Amino acid sequence: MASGSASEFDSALGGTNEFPWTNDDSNSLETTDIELLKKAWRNEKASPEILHFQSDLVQRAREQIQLLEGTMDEFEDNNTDDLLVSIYQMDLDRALFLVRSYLRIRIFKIEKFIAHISRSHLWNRLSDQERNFAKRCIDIMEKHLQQCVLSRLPNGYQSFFKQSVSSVEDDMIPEPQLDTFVFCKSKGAVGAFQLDDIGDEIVDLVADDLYVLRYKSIKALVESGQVDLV
Amino acid sequence: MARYYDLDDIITEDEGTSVIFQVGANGVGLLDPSSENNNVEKGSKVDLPFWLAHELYLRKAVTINFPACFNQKIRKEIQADAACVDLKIQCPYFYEFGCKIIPLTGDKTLGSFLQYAFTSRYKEALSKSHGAGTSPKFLNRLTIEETHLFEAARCSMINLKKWRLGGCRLEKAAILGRKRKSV
Repeated sequence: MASGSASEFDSALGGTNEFPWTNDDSNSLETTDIELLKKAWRNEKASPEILHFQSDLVQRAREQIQLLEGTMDEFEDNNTDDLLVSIYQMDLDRALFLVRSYLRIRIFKIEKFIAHISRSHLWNRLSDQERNFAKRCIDIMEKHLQQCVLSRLPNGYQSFFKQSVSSVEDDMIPEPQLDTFVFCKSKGAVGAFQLDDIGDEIVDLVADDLYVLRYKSIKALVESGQVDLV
Repeated sequence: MARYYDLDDIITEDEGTSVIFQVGANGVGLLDPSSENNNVEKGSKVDLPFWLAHELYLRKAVTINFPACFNQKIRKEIQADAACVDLKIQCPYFYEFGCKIIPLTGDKTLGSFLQYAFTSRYKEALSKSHGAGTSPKFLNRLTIEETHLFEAARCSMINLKKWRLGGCRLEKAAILGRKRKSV
């Protein structure tokens, strides 16, 4: 009984291409979708501003989750071993959690910095559904503040973005703090890297070493994918 | 300004700073309790909240005196033993306020002084936060920013201990425990 179910287990896991994250033969160069999703999720969680939306990654993950759900239904019809079903169910739950958490973090950041995102280049980093959400969100906020507060203030103070007409810049918009420190690990050796514009500190980023740096200095490296946030 | 809606920021800017008016101001005699008519004379010393002093400084109407909470006496006390100095009485948002004052007073040493004070007090706070209970006297000496860090460390230690003892993973919501009055 034990050996029979074990071999069935191996063939289900190792044979098909539909479950790339359960396949153990991946060589070091090729990363599975679930690894990429985990990396995107960790980066999004640790960074203070919103990053680019990985639309194809999320799309692929969704398709694979649907496939897995289809297989689960088949298993239930065929009355397969409970252990197998529960392991597949756990895998499905973990993948679902990753996708949902990724989307949840992005929505949280959008809500927090809604005015800033809608007026800067960060708008390009949102997906289509997120843009719909952001548009509706900012419309509702503006309408609410107008009705409750702004329409009753004297002229010259009725703007959502500027404190008064005499303010030099938009000072009422909360912006993400790019100065915060983040933990990061670089994949390959980046070499001597200049931390600020003043040229005071030069840091050697060696592969797989853990660093704590200001987000602003490594922003470009995170976007190009050379450095991962932890 | 990134922190228009931030509550801590609003309370920090409410700290009083003493300023000296460079121009006479009419009609705002409320600010100076010693003025007879409704005007503030040029050269008079007035206590204003920081946000007002900052705006007037930008319009070059006042010069800002160095706040009392960063004077030599406090500096000497901190250099002697940083952990025992009661900063909350001086100014509950000591570090934030100091950071805001730096561009206005032109004192180059304030930044490094704040850093030194924070690092020496942090060691003490860190070791105490991981213990079981702390005397309320110690907590009263911390500024609000330090209290945030302290509470965060204390909460995570308590959660870790609870998790380690293997207690129930689900908690009944507090609202369910209340008895309802029968109407």
